[in-house]
Amino acid sequence: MVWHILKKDWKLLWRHVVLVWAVQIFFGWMQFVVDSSENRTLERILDVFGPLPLLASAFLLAAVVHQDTIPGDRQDWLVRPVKSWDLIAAKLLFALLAVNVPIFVGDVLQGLVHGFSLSAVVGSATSRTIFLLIGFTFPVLVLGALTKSLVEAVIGAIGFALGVSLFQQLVLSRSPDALQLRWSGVSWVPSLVVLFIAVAGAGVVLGQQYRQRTTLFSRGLAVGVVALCLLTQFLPWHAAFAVQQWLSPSRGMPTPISIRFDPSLGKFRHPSGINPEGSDRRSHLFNDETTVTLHVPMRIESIPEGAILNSDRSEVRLINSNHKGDDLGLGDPLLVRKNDSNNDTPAYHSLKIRRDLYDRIKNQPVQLQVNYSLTLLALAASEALPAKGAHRQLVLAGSCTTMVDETETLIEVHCLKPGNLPSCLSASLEHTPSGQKNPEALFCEPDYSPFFGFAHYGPDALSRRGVTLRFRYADGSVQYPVSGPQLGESQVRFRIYHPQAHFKTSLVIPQITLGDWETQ
Amino acid sequence: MIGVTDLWKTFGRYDALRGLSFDVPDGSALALIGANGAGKTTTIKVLMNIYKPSRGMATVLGVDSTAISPRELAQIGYVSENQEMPGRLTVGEYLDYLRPFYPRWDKSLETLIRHQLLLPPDRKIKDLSHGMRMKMALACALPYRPRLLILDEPFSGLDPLVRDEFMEGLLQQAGEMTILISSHDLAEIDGVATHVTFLDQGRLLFEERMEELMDRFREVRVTLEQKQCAPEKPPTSWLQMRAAGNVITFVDTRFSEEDLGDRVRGLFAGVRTIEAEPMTLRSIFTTLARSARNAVS
Repeated sequence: MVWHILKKDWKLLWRHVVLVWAVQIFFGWMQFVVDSSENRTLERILDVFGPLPLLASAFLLAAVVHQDTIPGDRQDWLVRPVKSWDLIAAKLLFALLAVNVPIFVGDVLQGLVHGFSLSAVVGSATSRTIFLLIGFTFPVLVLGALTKSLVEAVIGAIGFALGVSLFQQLVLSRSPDALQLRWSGVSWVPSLVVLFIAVAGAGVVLGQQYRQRTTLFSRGLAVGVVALCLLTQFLPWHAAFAVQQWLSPSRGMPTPISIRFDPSLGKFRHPSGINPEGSDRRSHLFNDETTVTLHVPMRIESIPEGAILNSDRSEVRLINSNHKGDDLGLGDPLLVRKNDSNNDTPAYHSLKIRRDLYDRIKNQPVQLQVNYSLTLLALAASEALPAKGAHRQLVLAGSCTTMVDETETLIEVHCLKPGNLPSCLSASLEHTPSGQKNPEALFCEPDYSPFFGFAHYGPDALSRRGVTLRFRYADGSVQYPVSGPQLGESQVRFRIYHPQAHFKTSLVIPQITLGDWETQ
Repeated sequence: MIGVTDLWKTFGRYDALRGLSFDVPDGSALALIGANGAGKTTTIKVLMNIYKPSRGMATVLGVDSTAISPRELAQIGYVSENQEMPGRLTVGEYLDYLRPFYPRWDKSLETLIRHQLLLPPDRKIKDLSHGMRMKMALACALPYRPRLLILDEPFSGLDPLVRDEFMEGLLQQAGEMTILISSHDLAEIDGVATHVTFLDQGRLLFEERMEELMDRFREVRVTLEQKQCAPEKPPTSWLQMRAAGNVITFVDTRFSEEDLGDRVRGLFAGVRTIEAEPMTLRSIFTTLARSARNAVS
């Protein structure tokens, strides 16, 4: 009877289905135009109305469930010999045929028209489809099953959003144990746990609601599932990182990398005219006027040449005379790249300490311990494309285009790629005939997830990254080795880094006077 | 066919059903009667497993109502005044949709009923009038020859012509099926029901065969030699006793031709005539409903 119920729903909703498909096709076309021609107007439209295809799909999913409403006591199907499992299966099949399969097909087509291989595109599209099925379709079907009408469903969705937002404001943002994994490369671990909870929760709630029709109880169950999902934000760092270590291509430390305190490097000073904040998206999280920034000089030994060492997390502890530790908080992200053949690499690690505590101990010798969770990223490939007006398929960076921006001071590079983007990449402008190059820019957004599609509500199964490379200032204040006249013979060189190993190590400084290392 | 034992249904603090017990024998047509809010629809919804009982139990076709499966539902026809059918399907499309769910669906019977009830196959259900929708519900409940037909206030809001067509359609196809019909419109069930169950505020007042009920209720008019007041404590089986001059009227709920005269003469002196008239079901119902209300107040 599954197919029979599906045909009835299709007959009732085929106009809605066509409308949703039209919206998806239209937005897919707009996205293709934006990706191909850098059309700013369309890009702005997409920025604002981008969620519309998913929103339209959500309405369709709720509508199909509401064709045989569960809450209430007047529906004709309640007195008909309809098996509840047939009804659930029919609704799920409708969702797949009307929403998820078309999205999958759209994702595949979008990847193919950009020139990617079928296998690469199908892989990322499948991954995204599974994620959308669990993270979007199931929750909307549950919402539909718990409500009587579209109005009730919208009210329920708004209530859900408000509840989650309140929980974030009142609990998560105030709890020191929450959100330890946010913005980190291992944030996929709680996302995966949420997906498991969502699958199990949707199964339980739908089963309960369709078989027993106990709407109030089922709503309570759904709230419990949502609460359980939110509690994953309390997943401790070390548990998630242990999972990551277990999945690491080479478990443990590949080479005996060690970190030691080296006061001989002297005090850190910002070079004049340079913004002290890095390009790392995580650094803004740690800025606070009530803290003092220290730059601790250190040497890191045995980083393989050309590799990058990224501190995913550094926990700073102060050990007092009684050998008891006080947590000082988290250190700033530390990103160190080995460019020469020396065995050790100098670096400064920026640590922020509460001003009141700092003022109390700044002139005393104290013992400091920093526990690092680190990832070693190895150079996977070096790829290049012409600096002006190029459009080329690169093996790891994806399908990239280059263009000079309107102010003629920057090279804009846009890359598209099926699946996850590389965690780190560097880009530089190189003049091919002379071999001269501009300073290299490093872009790191660590994402170590083994699957594509976590928290990817983007328009399709392609990841997008844009980088800009400056070759001159409009006022001519800074001279670059490679600039305007040479751009025609220049190329943008990418270096792509992939995670090779995840490991932990500690830096123990037996005696340090914090006041000596306050940043000037 | 149906057995109800100490059935309770509570909504919040309100007891809609309070320990209801009755049976519907095979092949009977039981009328569930009572005023608005008596608990008729709630009882039916418990029987159909739309509501779960708070206490007690009900069995339908020998199965606990809470465990009714599609197998039992395929043998039950249900027609309700507020049944929500998919309005955007046409009459024909909905019948086409329902047909495969019922192994015993008789297509020729469906066609016959549809013609008999003058249902336009191409009209959308949402465009049907209330009466037509009720006929549509009946047309969806009969073609599979259900063993049990449950009708919840089927005549509500129907004009007399449609009622007649509805009843005609129903009676022609009734055959051997057991019928449970709830109504407060008693004139309509007068010729249909074989048994009557009277509900008041969630309680069962009585359950009886229709013939016995009609036999034991009489409207009695006593003419006396001279004016008298009604007795302060009349027999409990005499309801709505009124005195107007030398005429006393009341409803005898335990009518017996043999002893009525003796009982009247035992209470009143100078009895000139005694007339006992049979009552319509409507009159019986209103008499009982008023008495129940007076008893509560």
